[in-house]
Amino acid sequence: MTNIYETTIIVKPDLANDQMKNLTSSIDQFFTENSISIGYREDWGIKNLKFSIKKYSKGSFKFIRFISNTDFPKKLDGFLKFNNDCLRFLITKSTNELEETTPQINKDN
Amino acid sequence: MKKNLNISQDELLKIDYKYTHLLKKFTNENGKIIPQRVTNMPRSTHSRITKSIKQARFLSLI
Repeated sequence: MTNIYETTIIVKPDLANDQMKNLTSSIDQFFTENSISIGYREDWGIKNLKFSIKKYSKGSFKFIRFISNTDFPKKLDGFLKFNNDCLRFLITKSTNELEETTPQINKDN
Repeated sequence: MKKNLNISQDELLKIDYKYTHLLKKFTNENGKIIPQRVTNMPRSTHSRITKSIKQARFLSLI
């Protein structure tokens, strides 16, 4: 059974360009290893956090929407949990369409 | 006292943790969730809103 899922990832804001590229490529590689294609991707940019997470007051937000079977979100949870560059993440079942834009992309701060 | 929130039915149907500008209408100035008896929402809608607010709090969006 397949569903549309979406994940929002908060990444450390002080990463260098190389480190950021490595992180995105490792996430892409994890998706391709499990033969799942990323349906829609957004970069919300660096936002002020309303409370500090691991002593960071800002965070870089990444948003990914994908179609997968029910097992894959658990695997992705295990993958992101042990990633040191990832401050926090949330994986939810999506009620939106696959390529629908989110209201956060136009928001400043 | 019942509260008038000025939210359309379409917006209520698609509300989730990403719609922070809508979720802020359901919280007071201290960030607490406004009770259902004040907002006068159906039970299913209110439970969806509270879940979304808690998810947005987890991601430090509101």
